[in-house]
Order: sequence, then structure tokens, then C-alpha cells
Amino acid sequence: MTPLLEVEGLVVEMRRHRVAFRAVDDVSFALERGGALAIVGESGCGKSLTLRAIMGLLPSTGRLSSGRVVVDGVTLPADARSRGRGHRQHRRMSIVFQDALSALNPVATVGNQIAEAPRHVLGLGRNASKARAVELLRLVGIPDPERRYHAYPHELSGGTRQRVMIAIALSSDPAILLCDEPTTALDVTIQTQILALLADLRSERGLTLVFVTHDLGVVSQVAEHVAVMYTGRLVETGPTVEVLAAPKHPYTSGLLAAALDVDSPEHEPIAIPGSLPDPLWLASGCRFQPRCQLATPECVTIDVRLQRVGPGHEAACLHSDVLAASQGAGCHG
Amino acid sequence: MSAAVTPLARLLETEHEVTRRPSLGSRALHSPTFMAGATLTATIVALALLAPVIGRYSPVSQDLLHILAGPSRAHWLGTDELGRDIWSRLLYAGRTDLQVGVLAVLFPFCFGVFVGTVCGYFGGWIDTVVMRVVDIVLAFPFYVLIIALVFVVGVGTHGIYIAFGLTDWVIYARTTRSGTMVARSLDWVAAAEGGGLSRTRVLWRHVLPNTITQAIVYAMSDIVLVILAVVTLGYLGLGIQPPAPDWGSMISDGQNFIQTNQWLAAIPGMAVVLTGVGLSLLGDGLADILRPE
Repeated sequence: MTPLLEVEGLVVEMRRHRVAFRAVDDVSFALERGGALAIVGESGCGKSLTLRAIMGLLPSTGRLSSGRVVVDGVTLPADARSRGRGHRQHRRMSIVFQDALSALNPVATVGNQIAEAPRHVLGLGRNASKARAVELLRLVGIPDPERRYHAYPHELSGGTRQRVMIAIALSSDPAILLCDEPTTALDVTIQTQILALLADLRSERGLTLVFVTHDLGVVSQVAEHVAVMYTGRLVETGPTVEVLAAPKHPYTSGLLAAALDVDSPEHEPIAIPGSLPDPLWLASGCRFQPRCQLATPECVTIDVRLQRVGPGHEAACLHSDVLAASQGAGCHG
Repeated sequence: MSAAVTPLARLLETEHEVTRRPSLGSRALHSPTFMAGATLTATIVALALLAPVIGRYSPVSQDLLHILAGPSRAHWLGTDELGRDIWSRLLYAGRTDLQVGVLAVLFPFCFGVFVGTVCGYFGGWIDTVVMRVVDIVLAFPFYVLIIALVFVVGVGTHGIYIAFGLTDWVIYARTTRSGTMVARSLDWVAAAEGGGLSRTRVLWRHVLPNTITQAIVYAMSDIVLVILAVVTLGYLGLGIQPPAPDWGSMISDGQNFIQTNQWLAAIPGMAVVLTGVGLSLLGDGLADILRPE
């Protein structure tokens, strides 16, 4: 079975003060129908840009300089704006943004915004579109959808807005849902509800999910596969359970060590030394090497790329085995 | 509630709902600026529209036995040097000037907003060319340009329409363009584009409703500007041609008698000021109540 979504060698160049740099550098992954991938990384690592590049909605300062996005065997044009009205493959993807308030049109009722795609993209009639919008509002768990249909975005709470955003994304009946930190702006209880909603949508509608987050805690709740991103590159990909339990890249283990663990309060979060480098001044060799405790002289000279470290598990590190050995010692000791 | 309620939805009901923003009408009623502006403007417009009913005399009929008369029961505001009733002339002049003001703004508003939206959204060479034209028009002193254009295309109302049509759209184009450029980088516009909607629809439904407020508010002060310009042109003899009544020519004619019969110039002057104040307040009030949350 061919994957539903294939991303191959995606490179996004951003311009800053006339200098171009690769904000997304050679990102590739593939997803089966109904699969889910979480892309994790610190702010500014290029994870949101990756999503926008897939969607064809790069900002004007950015450019897709190479790579391609294939949906169901068809390569998409790089820019959604030039994809033309309702490009068939393109319609199969929708995006949910982080800040639902700025992602909703403030002068249109939420119902009209949800009914828009059914009416003008799918070509349903006026009443059918409206019925569909109400149904979608109910599907995303908004009580009293007939009444909420007529609400404006500012009249709704943050969680409800995010649900509306998801309803809009679902309105064009997509096969793939791209989520750009959809729960970051929400408090924890609402976050749990939204994640549960996404899980429901996956199991009920067979939706394929690409989920971008900086929160390792939510990864295991939404996706079986995880890709860890650092300075525009994927540094580790693999099954979520395995990557979280036995990371094969020091950046991943650093992120895990820096996370708070409620179950073991005696565990103090340990920060990764240093900070995310300026994309214009990347270190030679491995990009994580200046912050890495396992770094050796080879790390400065060899620009290491993803390599297989286990079944379906890849990491871009020369010292994966060292990391594995220390984990083994920790587990059994 | 229907049976389709998920446990999730039940959880949600505990979530607090943000209080509903008052409706447009209620916000308008609670804005003193808007109410003052609307009342004043509406009164002036009503008086102008009712000119044939409450004017009592034709604006051009002359009563040569009573020239330069003071206020009386026959002539509430007196008469001018040709014995014409000033009250009637004032009302009819308001008709002319308000009509010219609104019509002269209408075309620049529509054209400017259209051009600004297209330039701001699509950018590229069209944007560069149009914005240079805007720069050139803006580089001229406004009145010099208007007077020169009216001279070229001919005095009177049609001259005013053409002169304003050629120059005034640039302000609308520029403000709408900057608003559109902001809007096109916003997430909801990106979401609409990504959702496969046509560009026309994205512009018409998602960009324009959020950028047009600024243009509407500016149009209110622009009407004042045009009326002032028409009055100025009338004063210079380039505006509305006699014997048609117009506040500018009334001021200009009254000027000759400024030492003896001050009201001849003062009354139409007051009318201009009041109209200006009314429309400016209306514009300010509209800006308050139309601003998106």
C-alpha cells in the first residue's frame, strides 16, 4: 500500500536581511492512511514551517527551494495560492493553527466560516452546507450547535474556538489533518479534551494526522510515530513508544530530561546546556554538537544524517550506541 | 439536546462562555460620539432634503423691493443683495453641496478600495506601478491639483466629479493596500486559501470586510473635505455656477457686504462648519463601533 502522504527532501529557504538560510533542511517522511506523526522540537526549529510548506502556505519571506509533497501519488504544486480553485489533491489536506482567535475571521459568524468550504469548494447547496456546518459543530463537541452557528469568534472561549477551527478544517472533508500546535494556547484540561477529540476523529473517520508540538507530554497521546526536529532537520524518527523510552539521539534524551515528570517528583528537570543556535551560524559537523555532552572530535567534522538504529527507528548521531549502552545500564542497574 | 452528545460535550458545558458583545445597534446607541454625529448629520440632511417644503421661496426668486433685508417674518434669515431669501438658499445650497460631496467621494472610494485590495493582495509589478502613481498624485499640493484639473475639464459639478475622481482614490488605495497586506499574512486568510477557496472569494469574504472599515471611516471625513473644496472652488468662482445655490458662492457673494451685513457670509459659513463637525463625529463614532473585536 502506497503511503497517503509523502514528504520528500523538503527544503525551505527563508530570507532575513537579504541573507537566505535553510529553515527547513531536507525533511522527509511518509504516512499511511490513518497514521499519525508528531513533529517535536523547540520553538524556531522549523516545525511549523514544515507544515506550512506541506500545505503550500509559506510566508512571503520563505520559498520551497527543493523537495516535493505527494498526496495519494500526486505531486502538489508548491504554492497553494497558485494551485487553483479546489485543486483536487490539495483539498484532501486541512490545517489547524495554534492561535484559533487569529485563525478565525472576526467579522463572520463561525457557522458561515464552517459552511463556506462545503458550499464553495464541495459545491453543496445552501441548506445542505448549513446542515453540514451544524453537524460538524456537533461532531467537534460543541453543545447547542444550532445556536452557536450564529456566534462570532470573539464570543467563544478559547477551547470552543479551537474546536471551531477543527470543524472548519474538517469542513472540506480532508483525508489529512495538519495540526500546528493546536493545544499550546489552551489550559491543560481543555488540551486533554482537544487531544481526545483528535483521537476520536482518527478512529472514527480514518483521518491521517500530522501534529506539530513542542510538548513531549502530548506526543504519546496523539501519535504512534514521532519525528524530533532540530535546526530545520529531523534528528530522530521512530515509533513513539520506543523513541520516548530509549532515545537514540542526545537531543531527544535532553528534551526528555528537561521535561517535568509528575509521576516521579524527585526527578529534577535538567535543561539542555546552551540555546537554539542562530540559523545563520550553525556549527560545523553535527548541528547539536556544541550543546552535546557526548560530543567527540568526529562530531565537528562529520555532518551526520539519519541512519537506522532499530526497526523503523532512525537517528542522526554518531554515538547512538553510547546512548543505548547508558540506557541499558540505567534500566538494569 | 440531541442524543449525539458525547461525554466530551458534557464536560464542555462547564467551560465558561465569554460574554456576548453588544450588537452593532446597541453599541451605536451607547457611543455618544456616534449619536451626536448621526443626529447632527441627519438633521442637516433632513433639512436639505425638505428644502422644497420648508424653504418657503424658490432659491432664485428675487424680491427686489427687499434687498439686504434683516431677519423678518417674511424672510427668516433676511435677504441677499438680489432680494433672494437666505433661508431658502441655505437649504437648497445644502442639497447641492451634500449631493456633490457624497457623489464625488463615491467613485474614489470604490475605485481606491478595489485598487488597494488588488495591489495589497497580489503585490508584484502592478503594485509597484500603481503605488508610484499614488506617490506622484500625493506629491502635488491637493488644492493646486484640484483647481488645475477643474480648470482643464471645466467648471461646475461635472468638473468637480472628474477632478476628485482622478485624485482622491489614491488615499483609499493606499490605506486599503496596507490593511490588505496585513490581512493576507493572517492565519484565517491562510486557512481560507489553504481550504481551496477561490481568490475572489478569499478577498471578498475574508479580506475586504476586515479592511473596508478604515476606508468607510475615512470617507466620512473625506465628504467634509470635498464639501470644503467645493465651497473653496465656489468662492473662487470655479465651483457650482450661479444662480444655483451653493454655500461657497453664498460666502463669496456675502463677502462684499461683510462690514454692513455680516450674516450674508456668516450663515452659510456656519452651515459648512456644522456639516463638517457632524460628519467628523459620525466618522469617529463609526470607527469606534465598527472596529472588530
